[in-house]
Amino acid sequence: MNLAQEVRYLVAKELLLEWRQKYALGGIALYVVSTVFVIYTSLNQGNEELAKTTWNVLFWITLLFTAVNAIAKSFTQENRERNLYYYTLMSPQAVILSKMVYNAGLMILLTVIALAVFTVMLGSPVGQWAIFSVVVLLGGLGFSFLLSMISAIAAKAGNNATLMAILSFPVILPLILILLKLSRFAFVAEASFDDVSGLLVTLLALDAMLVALSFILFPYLWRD
Amino acid sequence: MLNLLRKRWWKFVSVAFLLVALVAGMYFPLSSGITAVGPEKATEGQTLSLAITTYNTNFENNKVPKVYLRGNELFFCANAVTILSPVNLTAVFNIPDSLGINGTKPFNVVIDDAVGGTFFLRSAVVLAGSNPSNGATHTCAKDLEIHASANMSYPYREILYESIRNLFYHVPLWFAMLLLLVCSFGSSIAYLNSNNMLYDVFAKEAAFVAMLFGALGIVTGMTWANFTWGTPWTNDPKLNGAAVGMLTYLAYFVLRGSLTQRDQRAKVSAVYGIFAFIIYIIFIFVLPRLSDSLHPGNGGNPAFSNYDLDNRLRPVFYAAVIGFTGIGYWIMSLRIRYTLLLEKQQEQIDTPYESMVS
Repeated sequence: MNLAQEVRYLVAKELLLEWRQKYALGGIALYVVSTVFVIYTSLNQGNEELAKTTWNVLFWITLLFTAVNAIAKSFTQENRERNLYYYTLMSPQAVILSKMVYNAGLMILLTVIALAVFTVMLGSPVGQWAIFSVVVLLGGLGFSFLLSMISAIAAKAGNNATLMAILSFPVILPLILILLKLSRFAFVAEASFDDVSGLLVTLLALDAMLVALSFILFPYLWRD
Repeated sequence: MLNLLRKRWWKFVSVAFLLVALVAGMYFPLSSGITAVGPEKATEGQTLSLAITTYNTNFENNKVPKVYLRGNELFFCANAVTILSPVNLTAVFNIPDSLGINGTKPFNVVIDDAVGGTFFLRSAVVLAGSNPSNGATHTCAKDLEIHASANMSYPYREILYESIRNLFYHVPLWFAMLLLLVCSFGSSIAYLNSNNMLYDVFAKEAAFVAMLFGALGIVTGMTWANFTWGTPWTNDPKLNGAAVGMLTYLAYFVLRGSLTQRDQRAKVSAVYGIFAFIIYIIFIFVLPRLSDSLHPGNGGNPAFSNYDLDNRLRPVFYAAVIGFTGIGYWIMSLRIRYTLLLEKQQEQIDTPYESMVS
């Protein structure tokens, strides 16, 4: 089997597993909705206008926590023996790539849910939806790539929630800062892609680098 | 003894460099400077009597310094200079009737002292004029020669003042920290390639000493920032970069602590060490592009190399860099030896038990 085929089989397996355990997906979707609801009710105390910066920060922090919670289980939902079985069948690169592809899909779904709930409950300061969609897409990809690798590392150490958070937060900061900056551009209705091309290229390069790093480092990690 | 010197020469060298930097950094005085000038306003045609207070000067009555007022092309000499004390003097200027300007113009006060060198206070006096047609004439020959102070001294800078000496302690600590982090990164790669446990110990101890230096760098930086910027912590990309570096490597130690099996701990922490270091490097190079920094050389601030054209800071600074890096490497090698001995002892304790079981 070549790499693409292996990845396809593994992603199909992930989807099947998710379909059989529908409550997990429903759980994480509910996590997003209830987080936004907590924000909404907390903010509604004084009937004040929500500043764009606050919306921006709340949106991305919500996504960050959702992503950490959704992706933390990547390498622990199946037992160790079954993981060993996959490793005898597939190349490690296929394993990490399939996790990344699957988590990217999951993140995009969760981002859409979060965005919808945010827009309904808190309104939306977005002025340029084209730019914002690209930013959200690339941001979701970056989150899923980085957290897939961190969850593989945390899984080796017993995968407690604290470890997942402290390992990922410092390394995810450059990504978050670029995303916050890009989102601010998307709030301006007159913004064009020319204004953000430099930052978008930086973001793309960061995403590509995360894939490359995981691709190189993961084979060292799974071999016990 | 000779053998010791031959094998451990770098330890003596780095201690010597560090001592030189510590002593020289504190020993040499600051150059002369002007702290206050009054009155700050004058008009054309007036006889201006300037009271000037200086810092680190030693004026004597038989060696009266020259005092000038300078605003770009306009240049006036003091008609009379009276020395009141080693750090106080009065300079009397006859401002010409026509300055050739309509409005106000800031003038620097420049003092040319035989011992203290040439020093000035920027925009110290504002002169007002209302006669733009006739250009002013210089009241003396424009023969100002800029020369450094006769004795070894550090540049006198507004805002920094005596705290400029922290350059020798704060900056080299970061240099040493980054070098040690590169060491840790390199050993992590070497471990994954060779599975040699020595590299794992090396990577861990390099990161540990780097964090020690990072903590010292933050403490010296906060002290400095409190003096110059008025607050120990500002939202500055360099400060955030430092904080993120500390958080990353503290997480690295928590990860190490939560893994009990030795081979697995080495492998997993090496993978995280490489992953985190590369992202950290991107962070400290990408982030300054996203926002301005208060640090020299960023966001339009002059770099330190622009401050001292006569390079009086350089030798001490480089001595401190060599000294701190050497000391860091020394601490690291001691910790590596300690860890290896500890592991050896552990093996000796474990061995009889294993032989009993088998």
